[in-house]
Amino acid sequence: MTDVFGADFLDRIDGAGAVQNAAAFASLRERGFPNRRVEAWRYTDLTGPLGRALAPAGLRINQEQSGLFGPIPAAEVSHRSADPDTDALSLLNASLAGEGFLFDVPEKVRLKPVFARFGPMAENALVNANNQIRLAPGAQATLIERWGNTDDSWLNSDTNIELAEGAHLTRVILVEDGGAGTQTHRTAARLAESARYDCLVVTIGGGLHRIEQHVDINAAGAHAGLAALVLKTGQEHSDFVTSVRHLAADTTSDQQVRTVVDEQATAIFQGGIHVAQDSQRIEGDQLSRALMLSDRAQAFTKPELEIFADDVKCSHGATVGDLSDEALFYLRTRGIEESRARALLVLAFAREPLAAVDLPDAVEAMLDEKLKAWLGVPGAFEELAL
Amino acid sequence: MLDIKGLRADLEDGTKILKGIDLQIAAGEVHAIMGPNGSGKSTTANVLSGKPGYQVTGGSVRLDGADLMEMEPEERAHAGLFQAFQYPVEIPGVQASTFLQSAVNAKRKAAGLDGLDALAFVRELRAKAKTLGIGNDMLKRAVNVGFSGGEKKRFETLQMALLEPRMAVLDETDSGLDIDALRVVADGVNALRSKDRSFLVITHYQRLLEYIVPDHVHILSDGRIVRSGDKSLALEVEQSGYAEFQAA
Repeated sequence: MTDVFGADFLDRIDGAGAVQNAAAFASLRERGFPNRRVEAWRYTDLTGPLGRALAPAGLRINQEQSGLFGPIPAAEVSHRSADPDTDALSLLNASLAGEGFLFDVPEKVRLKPVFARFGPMAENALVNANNQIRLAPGAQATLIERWGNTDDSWLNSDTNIELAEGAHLTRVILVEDGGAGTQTHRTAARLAESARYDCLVVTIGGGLHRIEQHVDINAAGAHAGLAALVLKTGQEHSDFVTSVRHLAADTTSDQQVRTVVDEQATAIFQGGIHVAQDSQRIEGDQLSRALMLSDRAQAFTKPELEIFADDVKCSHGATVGDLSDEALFYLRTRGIEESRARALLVLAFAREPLAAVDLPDAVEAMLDEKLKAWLGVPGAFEELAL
Repeated sequence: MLDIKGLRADLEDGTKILKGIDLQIAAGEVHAIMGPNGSGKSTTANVLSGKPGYQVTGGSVRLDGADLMEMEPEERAHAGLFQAFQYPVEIPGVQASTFLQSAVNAKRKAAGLDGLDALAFVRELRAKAKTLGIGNDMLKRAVNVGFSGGEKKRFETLQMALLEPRMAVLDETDSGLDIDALRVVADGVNALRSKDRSFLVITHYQRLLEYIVPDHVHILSDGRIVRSGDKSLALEVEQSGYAEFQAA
């Protein structure tokens, strides 16, 4: 019992009487949390959050109108998997969470964008959110999630997505931290025929952020578009993990990840594309570019392509680099001072994943302003109406 | 206005490129520097604007009395220097008009003026762009991305028109241009000629100087100005070539 990683942490949770799903908790006790010897966790060490005295607490949801979006009913939460092979953070979630959201869009309904904000109530909280998104055939929806943390708290969400035939979900996950908190967000999505899942992840600040997107493309004509913008500085750590499984022929996916790391920050992208044996005529693209603004910052990219079919067009590219000296000089010869010239070039780079997803104008403007604030040039470089 | 005395510059690996350049350009004058490949023409332009990769080992450069070599590239721009590049850099993701507004307002700020608001800037931008045949679609694109050779040089000329430099250095502005594009660019440059503004036109060929007619022509060879004269010197070089000026 004491051999597993995180045993003390689990003892404290048990002692607090917070466990709601005993079977899931028993499975988690048996397997423990993944340590860095586990390949998928090579770059990310949970020792920090597991060492903290965190109190299980409820999720705070602030959401603007929509009858189709609301707290998840208990019945939807109770039958979460307790299988010991389930991901450890999902088991933690299933053990504790009684809360989360349900976003349920009926057939052929086209919704205006839904905005929702999530955060913990208290310092040193362990908050688990269990979310369910379902789009019936032909439904179209846009969901903007903002996950905000307070110092030292741990937000752990587990989101299941079911997209029926021809459904189209556009989703933004904005993960922010004022302090050195921990956020782990895991999504498992399943796409039916001609369904489309477009998701932009933006992660800013935080002690440790790990965001996982697992997408099963189950039928022809379906498409998964995953984009991410990772902005890290100080001692911040981000691990973005994707696994796109092409389980049917005639399916496509695209992954666009842009990372900016400054000071001593670390950012990792583990990008998976899996093509099953009978999945012919597949197109899967992946491009990861990282910009290092400091010699002490670190960026790692680990593309994982597993292709068992023949008729497949998969591409992946990864670059890690500094700003272009030529471009920087060009801007400076036009009188733009160096710090602003750098900000302008980083801004151009960081906007790329925003352009990869069709976002409502207000959301794009909000993200753009976040980006400028992070770069220390709020309100600068507005595009001109010509 | 521009006073270059004994300017020497090496590449970072120690290769000597400029071996003592002396050149005085008075307000309102147009000077041309001609020379064969490798004579130091582009290095002269790059050293003036402060491009990294060169070591200035001697001499001085003053613009209106201020020591240019002590300034950062952006400070040189604020002091009134402008370089039109031979190969303008493509900057993906940076809208051309946003870039132009940033440049104009950076210069205004350095001069103690308020920045132009979007409306006032766009009005000025449109007027100046129109005379160079630059439409809105080009200004909405990213800086130099997907621009043809002619569009790039027209865009350099537009920047010069907006920034209104005291001293403009045109580095091989004719390279890659057909005759029509060359005319448009030359007309743009000529429209900017004034008694307060000087030009240094760097070119390999005499052709450009038929359109931008210089007051003085200098022949650069092996890092030194080996001969100076009026515009007829350009024609002479066109006929006889550079061989007589090159070191044996």
